[in-house]
Amino acid sequence: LTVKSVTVAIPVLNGAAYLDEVLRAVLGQRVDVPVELLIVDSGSTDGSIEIARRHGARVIEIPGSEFSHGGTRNLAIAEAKGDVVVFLTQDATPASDRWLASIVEGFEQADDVALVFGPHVPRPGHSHVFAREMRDHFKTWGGGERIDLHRLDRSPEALADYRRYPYKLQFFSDVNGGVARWAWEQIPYRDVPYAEDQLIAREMIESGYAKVFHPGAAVHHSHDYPPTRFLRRYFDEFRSLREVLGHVEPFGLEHAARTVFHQTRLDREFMKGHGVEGLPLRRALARSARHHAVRALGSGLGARADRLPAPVRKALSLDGRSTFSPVEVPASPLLEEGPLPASTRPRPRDYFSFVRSGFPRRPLTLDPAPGSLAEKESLTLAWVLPPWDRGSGGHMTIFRLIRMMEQRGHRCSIFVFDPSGTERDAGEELRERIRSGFVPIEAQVFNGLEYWIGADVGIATQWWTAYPMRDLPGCYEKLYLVQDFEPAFHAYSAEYIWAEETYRMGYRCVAYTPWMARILRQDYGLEAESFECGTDLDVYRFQDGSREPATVTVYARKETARRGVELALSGLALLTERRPDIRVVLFGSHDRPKPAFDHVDLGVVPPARLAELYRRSTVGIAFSLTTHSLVAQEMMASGLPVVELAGDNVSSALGESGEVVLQADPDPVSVAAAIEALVDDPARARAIARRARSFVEERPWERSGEQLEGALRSFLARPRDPAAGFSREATRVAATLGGRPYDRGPHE
Amino acid sequence: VPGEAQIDWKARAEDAERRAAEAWEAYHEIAAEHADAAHYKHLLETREASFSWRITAPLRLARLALRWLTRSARKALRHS
Repeated sequence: LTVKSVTVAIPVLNGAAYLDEVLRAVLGQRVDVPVELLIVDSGSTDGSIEIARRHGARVIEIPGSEFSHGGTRNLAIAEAKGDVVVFLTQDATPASDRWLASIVEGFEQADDVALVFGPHVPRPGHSHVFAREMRDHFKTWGGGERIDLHRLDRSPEALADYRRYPYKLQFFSDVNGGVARWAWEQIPYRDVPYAEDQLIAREMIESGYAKVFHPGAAVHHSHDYPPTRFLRRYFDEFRSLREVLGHVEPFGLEHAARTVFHQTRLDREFMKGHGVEGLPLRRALARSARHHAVRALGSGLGARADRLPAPVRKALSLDGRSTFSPVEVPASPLLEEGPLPASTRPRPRDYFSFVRSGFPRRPLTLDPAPGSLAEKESLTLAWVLPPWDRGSGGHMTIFRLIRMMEQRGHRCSIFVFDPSGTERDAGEELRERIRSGFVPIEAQVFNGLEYWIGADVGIATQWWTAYPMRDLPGCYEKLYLVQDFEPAFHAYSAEYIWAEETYRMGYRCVAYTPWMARILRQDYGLEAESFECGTDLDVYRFQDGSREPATVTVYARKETARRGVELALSGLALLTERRPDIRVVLFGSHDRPKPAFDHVDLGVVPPARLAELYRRSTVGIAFSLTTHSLVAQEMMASGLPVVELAGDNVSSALGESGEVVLQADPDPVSVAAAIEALVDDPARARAIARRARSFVEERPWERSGEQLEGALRSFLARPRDPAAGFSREATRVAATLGGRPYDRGPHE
Repeated sequence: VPGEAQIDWKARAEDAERRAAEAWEAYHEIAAEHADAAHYKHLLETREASFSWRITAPLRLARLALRWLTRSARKALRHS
């Protein structure tokens, strides 16, 4: 909103004490728009009207009987000429000559700003209690130091928060606050005796308008009464809040004791911060405790005024009012007890809503890239990850790559995308978990995508994350780190199709193993480069010497179907029938397999113990029916000869390095024969183990980082083909199992 | 004033890129703190709204009172 003119309006009744000071401060404002000064007097007899006229104010006089807080302010706005009307009370003095400019600046924050308010600062000499209370109160918005624009978010979670704690959004004070005329024309003040400002703010916020707190729009305003007068004022205030807004202040011995204790402690910290110690501090705290006790009593009684006899109400009221008359105000459906309206009711977490909102199919959201992006020395990379468990191999690879990118001078941030909502840790806890359990990364970590602003390159790391990443703003390029053919992690199912769908979104891919990159290129038409994984050579040290005889160590992670555990166990069942000297050690599974032969099952084993196991065993088995397993590489690093299944997935990962593992056909007889061959031919086994160690030594993580960066820069250097890999066509169920139509024959 | 030929546009562009990357990093540091604060506030509010927290309130109050009494008694003894 561009503010063209402002009216400062002040309702007055016998306000001579401060009115001159207030009007001087208003007229001394430095502001670039015309200002009108309007006074609505409701029967002053102390010379207030003369003071107002002396300062050039336009004065509207109304009988005292016609005054109401809401109605009188409506009259003021109706009479005002400004497109913004800023209200002050007769004892609220602008604290600086930029007060009005700050209010105007508040309205200019957005086109839908309906209300702007500023902080109150106690008048000099008034009690420390007010200074501390007001400071803490106004810290609610922008920490009391920054402009804070707020609106009501209509998500179920935000509405539930609003119902639980409406105060932050509803609070508005027309002791010192401005109202936009356009908004008032839609939602005028209710003609209520009190709390008109809270009510108009509630209605405007719930109608979707914005409200702004501006720390520069401060006024000096406070009341310093004796305790009994405070008690009666609080009684009136909270009776009215109950009558108008239905607000019931908590009351009771425990609540009062806790409140007094807590508030007094805050006062103590505040006073100490101002250098007050010793006896003066103890005296001040005694006054604090008394004030907070009086407030607790007055507010509790006021909020329960309906239960008190009329003479008691009259005696307690500073206004001498004996009535309790609830005011009919429009009900807020968002604040009613009971279920929220169907559209706003929080529902049980909707796990796959991210997939649903991923349709209809659409291209990646990308910003036009500057020509120099490929040569930019330090890129900003924002990674979106799924949540993880301790020891997750896939995450270890991702965190290693992030660290490698950091070491190569790039800046990274990590966003954890958790559609299940089970990840409860804050970003700093997640970061600590990564640093202590995986790799000492530098990147900041966020639980959720709320703080996403984009980066040079956004990187999806798993099929769930590819859905939100597609639409996230602020990226010149989007990359998909594909460690495995993830559709195969699921039975042929909705999840299979949804995972496969991510290969039709048009990402540029960096895949682990040339095999995976080839699938992405050939079956899905994507641009794909590949990288190799390193191995932690410090943990998995090479041992060439003696090993325990005929000991076969098997990665038997039964819960991960692609590990082909039943195939390994079938081969071993055949072998142990004819070779009772073979000893089998299983590891890696919480859900322990129970093969029908003698074995030892170690369950899930930490890396150091695992390395020791590899160094003592004769043959290792870590099958993978999809991407080559890093467990096999760790066995290779330890000098343990490995039996692998023959296939493109394995041979593409192991390259042309000669015989670094012994490959078996995927049937029990071949598996048994391969294991037996290594057990019975130690010389061959040792030769394979030495070649395998050389193989992993040639592939440190630094090389993985180099490959990833190389892929990234080659993508950035090549203009994108907007159509590459993106398909508006739906996949045909069953016709494209594995992405390969039947009529094209098997994948080559 | 340097002439057009004397201005090293490449150096300027690199400097601007570097400052933009630093600002990006600074944003993430501040945003991470903000996100953590919001997260902990939410946790606290959830805990204080829970049934178990509310029914154990008298115990905490008693502990608070006891601590206050002990401390006051100690102070009084020290000053006497």
